[in-house]
Amino acid sequence: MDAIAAGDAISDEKPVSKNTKNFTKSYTFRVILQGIITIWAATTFTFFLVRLLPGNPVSIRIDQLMQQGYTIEEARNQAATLFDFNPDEPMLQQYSTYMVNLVQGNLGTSITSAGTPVRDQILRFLPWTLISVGSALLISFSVGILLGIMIAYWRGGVLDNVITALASILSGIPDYVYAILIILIAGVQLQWFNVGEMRGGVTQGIPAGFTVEYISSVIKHALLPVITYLLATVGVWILSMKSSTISVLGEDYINVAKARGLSEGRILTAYVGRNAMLPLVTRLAISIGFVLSGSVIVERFFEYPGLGLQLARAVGARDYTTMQGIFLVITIGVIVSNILADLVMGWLDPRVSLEDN
Amino acid sequence: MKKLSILLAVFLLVIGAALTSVAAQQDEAPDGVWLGTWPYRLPPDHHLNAYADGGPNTNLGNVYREMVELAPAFYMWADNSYEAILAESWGFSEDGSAYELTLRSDAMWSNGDSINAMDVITTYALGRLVGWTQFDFIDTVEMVDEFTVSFGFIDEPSLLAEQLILREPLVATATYGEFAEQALALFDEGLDRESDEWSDLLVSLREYRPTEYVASGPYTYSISDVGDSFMTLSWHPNSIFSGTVQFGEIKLWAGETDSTTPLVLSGEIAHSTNVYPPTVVESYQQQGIEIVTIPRGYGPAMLFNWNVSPWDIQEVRQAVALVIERDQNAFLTNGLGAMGTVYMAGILDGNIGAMLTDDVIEQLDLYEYDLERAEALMEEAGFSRNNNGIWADADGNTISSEWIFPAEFADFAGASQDAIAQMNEFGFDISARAMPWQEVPDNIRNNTFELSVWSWGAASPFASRHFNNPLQRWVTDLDTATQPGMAIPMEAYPFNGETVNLDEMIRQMNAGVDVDAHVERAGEVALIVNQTMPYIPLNVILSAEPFNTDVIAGLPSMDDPIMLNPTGRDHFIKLSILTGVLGPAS
Amino acid sequence: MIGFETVASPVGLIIGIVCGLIPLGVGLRYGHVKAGVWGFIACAVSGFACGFLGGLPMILMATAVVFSYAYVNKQDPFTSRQSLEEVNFEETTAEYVIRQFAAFGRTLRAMGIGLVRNKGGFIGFLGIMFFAIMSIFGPLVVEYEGSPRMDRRESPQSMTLFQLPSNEFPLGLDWQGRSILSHIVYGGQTLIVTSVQAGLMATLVAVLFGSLAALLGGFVDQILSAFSNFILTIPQFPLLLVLASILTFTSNFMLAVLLAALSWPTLMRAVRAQVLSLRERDYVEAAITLDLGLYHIIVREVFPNMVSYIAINFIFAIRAAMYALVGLVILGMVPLREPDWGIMIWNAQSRGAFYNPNAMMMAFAPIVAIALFQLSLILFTRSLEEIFNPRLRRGL
Repeated sequence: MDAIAAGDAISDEKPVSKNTKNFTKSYTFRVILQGIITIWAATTFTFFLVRLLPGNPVSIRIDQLMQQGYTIEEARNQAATLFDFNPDEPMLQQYSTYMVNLVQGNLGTSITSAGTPVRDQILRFLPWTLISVGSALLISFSVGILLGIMIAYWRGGVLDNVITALASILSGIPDYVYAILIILIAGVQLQWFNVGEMRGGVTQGIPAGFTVEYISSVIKHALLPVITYLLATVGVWILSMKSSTISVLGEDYINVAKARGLSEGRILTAYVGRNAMLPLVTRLAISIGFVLSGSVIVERFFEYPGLGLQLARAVGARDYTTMQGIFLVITIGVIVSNILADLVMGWLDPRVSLEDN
Repeated sequence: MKKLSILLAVFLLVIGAALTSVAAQQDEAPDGVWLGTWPYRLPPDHHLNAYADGGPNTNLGNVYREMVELAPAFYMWADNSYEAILAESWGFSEDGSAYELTLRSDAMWSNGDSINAMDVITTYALGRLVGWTQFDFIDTVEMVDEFTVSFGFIDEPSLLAEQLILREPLVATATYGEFAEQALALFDEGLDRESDEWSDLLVSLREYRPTEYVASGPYTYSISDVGDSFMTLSWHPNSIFSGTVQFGEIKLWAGETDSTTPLVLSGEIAHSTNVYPPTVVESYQQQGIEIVTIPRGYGPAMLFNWNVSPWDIQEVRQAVALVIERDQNAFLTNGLGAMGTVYMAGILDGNIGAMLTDDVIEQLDLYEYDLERAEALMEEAGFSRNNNGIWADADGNTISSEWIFPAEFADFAGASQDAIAQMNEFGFDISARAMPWQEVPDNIRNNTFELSVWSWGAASPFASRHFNNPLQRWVTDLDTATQPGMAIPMEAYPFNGETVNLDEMIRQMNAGVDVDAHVERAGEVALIVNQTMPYIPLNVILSAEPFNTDVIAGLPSMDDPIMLNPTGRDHFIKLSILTGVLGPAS
Repeated sequence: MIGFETVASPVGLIIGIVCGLIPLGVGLRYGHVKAGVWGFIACAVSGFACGFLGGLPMILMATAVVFSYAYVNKQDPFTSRQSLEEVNFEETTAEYVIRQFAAFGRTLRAMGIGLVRNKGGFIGFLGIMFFAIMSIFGPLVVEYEGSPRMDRRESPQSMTLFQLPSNEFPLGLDWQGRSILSHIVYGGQTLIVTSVQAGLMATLVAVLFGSLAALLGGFVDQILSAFSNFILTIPQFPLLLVLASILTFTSNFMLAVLLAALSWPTLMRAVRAQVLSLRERDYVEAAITLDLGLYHIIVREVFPNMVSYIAINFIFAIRAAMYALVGLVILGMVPLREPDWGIMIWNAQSRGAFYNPNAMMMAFAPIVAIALFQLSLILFTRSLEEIFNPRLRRGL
């Protein structure tokens, strides 16, 4: 709320130069301001939300250890090392400390790995998530768009029937089923690959760097996660693109273009595709934002060192600081990609204007 | 003469070869690789500081930590005895005021330092700093000579304290010495946990990141050995077990139950302590993988909220015990990896012979499946069936309750779903509610439940620990002002028309060193628990662990006494790896 | 929707037969016996399935269809074969009602033809009917098995009660030794109804907010966009954990509301993007210039142009709700109630059913059911597209 008041104060001031005034009224300024407010609101909300989760790190750790067969003494001894957590400190005080640190770029230290900075955790796992889920999303989107537009254009043909049915069924099956089946059938049964070797982000022992060996190992390890993600999501993109294209196909300007004798390829790309992609670009933007949260399922089954599994673990163990750091990254990702989507929209369809009507 | 000299030559050759092979074993790592699994965490969460979460306790667990840091002794459940590891001798002092531990003088750390009494002092100085439970029993830890330490008891000598002392891995002064010195200085000044100095030292200890893992066991590792999918513990020559172990490497795959299953199937994990559901265990068997079944140390118990009517009525609880067929319940809990509870006395069936006298065991009510007896008990308690066949009290209120259980734990969920079905067939009106596992204990603590399921019993050779879970764990161990737990009146517990202080009886059970007295006190409590059924011990879960004999040889036979050890801290593989019983299959 | 929630009963059959007499009578009276008999059958079946809820509306619909065959519009010189002089353009209220009634019947006939014309769409329609019939009439044939069946354990060495399909149990046995078929037949109804409710609410909110944000722009757009961004950025899993620990519901409807409340923003932003583009089209601009009102613009201009896209997203929302619902159940928001496809999948998964061929049916039966249901819905959208967007019929 403070930020809004500050914004008003700026625009109310009279002796500002014309340029500044234009800027404060401009679309860009508004979008950025709105983004910052949303990030602040979401961070605040999350701060209190995670602390309302039932249970606390210490008691959960004791229960978990005893479930693993530890005696109560052993469990208590281990939980005693969780001294980074003080449940008695007032929430508002914790919040103000957190926000002051945050503004300085300090995300604090993890509770369940005492002394480890949250920033280090994020920097360690984020790149892997970007590599696997990020590339999978882009491939899935591109394939989906291409196939979607094709089957919409040649509606009713064999290709349409086969792909539509396939896409419907593929997208109706949850992602972990693909992960399990790939490992069990292709790995354990048919032995197309060595189950253990394909785990992790990169073959252990290869030094990191821009070497052919390292990069090819990264690609090899990302393969199974990407295939899993692709199988689970490509159907949605295909069918969305198909339906969006169908809406556009009825438009008069398409018929006009056809009457003008333009080639099918040109009609598809310049007229149909451009317009049909509008809603999908927005969707893609939201998905890009959520790429940062990783894919827990894929990471669990392939032991891929991404952010999703870390987040799931942090939520389960009530590691408040780690959770919050990761959620902050996701929030920023979603907001930024939404702003980008609005900009891309204007580029795809120049008629669109986001200024006031 | 010639024959003799040839014989002599051959003899000398053999001796020589034997000697060189022993010598070779001393400085060259053996060839074998142990293929295990533990859900370790990845760096930067993963570090080598044993006194901060995310350190060796988390990453090696109570099974593999002792491959790196040895404890003074290993416990054998078959005859309640200790096998020496780092210890030379141990025992209570003559006046019973202290416990004396002497380490063997030839043991070395991986960096070449001798393992001596100072390491014990270091271990316990930091243990006291972070607040270990050992200090509920002992208050002083003093060096007697270079290899002997004396632990002074707060009150009377305790066998429980003995176990804690002998089974606690020791850490190296080379790694933690500085912190231990500061901690000892704090204790000398008489400062307590509330002081700023104490918490400052805790903060710096928490942020401490040792770069080298100084090991007393035959294996060690550094952070660079921790990969995304597996970590490797490597052999070093300085440990007292370096010459006996047959594995040059211990390879631990990352991951929980779900993600390790394919690796067990494909033979890349030879042994795992995870709780695999019976469906998966069946698959392992079909693949020809041996399943080793050892005690697990707990089972699911049905917990009542004593504040909710009618679960505070003894007859109703007894009736519940009679209408649940426990063998079926065990099967639906964990297949053949669970056994219906036989003795219903609050002590795990496998330990009952050692903890109770035959006389007491004979007096136990076994609560065999008996609907008629249950019917009679319900009527005695003033309940009758309504028109729908549901039990109702005199005012016609039906016995309707909700049972909460953890969604993620297939065993507890299975036990609950089956028990609910069986109770409803008898005419209770029980509904089920699944929730994230973390929330079930939370609801039990806060008394915001009606019926629930959680563990009973313990992997402990002390009867009081068995009764502790769940009786004290969910009642008197809690901060009862804010957390009523199961709301059992432990201090004034109704029994045969009188009240007894059940809490005190359990607390005193294992005090002192007179084992016969322990058994006698355990018998009293067992009879009370058996008759009043404060909770229902549904079944006892076993640990059905895959053990791939194509990869690992030397699996002890099931009648080997070590196989009576439960999984976890006293797991048979720990001693078997160290002493070289287990080795690579050729 | 109504159909899915009920179970066939003999009383309903009697109601249906009684209801069916009306269209049959009308058919006999006007000499359209074939139409009358079909009307009778339609009433009988829908009455059988849903009792009065099915029988009464079907009287109206079937009678309208039968009547539309017989109706001769006296005002229309082509059908009444009267000369222009004879045509009387004044009509009484009764005549007006009759004319509208016949028109309603004709519309129904046209829709019926639209359903059948597109082969893919018709297959989808049949698929949806299959699930409806299975849920409603299945219980007459298959008995539900709720209690554990230890007696079906194959041998004392068996680790589990799972069994592969056999003649006795066409889909095999689940972890408690119960027939999987019975759980498939009984376990879809509530799940489908709740998921469709959730999908419907999410789609309505998304279309409404998306159109409003794009058409009105400015302040409204900013507020709605910020709101959707906020919902998108709230960490949903912790939110649901916290909500589940505070709120507990007894009905699934509230779960549908909750799922809808959390899932509308993605579609809303897509709709907004599309409408921003549509807003610049000539016909929408014309409508805005003519000041035809927001309702007209959204319902008449925007919606028909997006119907395929909205329909497919509606279906995805249903599918997502189907899998998300069981998540809410095991968070403890509602009591765990069997039979339910979602609970089946969860039980199978937590018991490692994927790793054992004997057990796989427990997981795959409900997953295949959900996938086939989604396939039916998606195929059915082809018919919808043709009905709503007639230009598409001619192809490009």
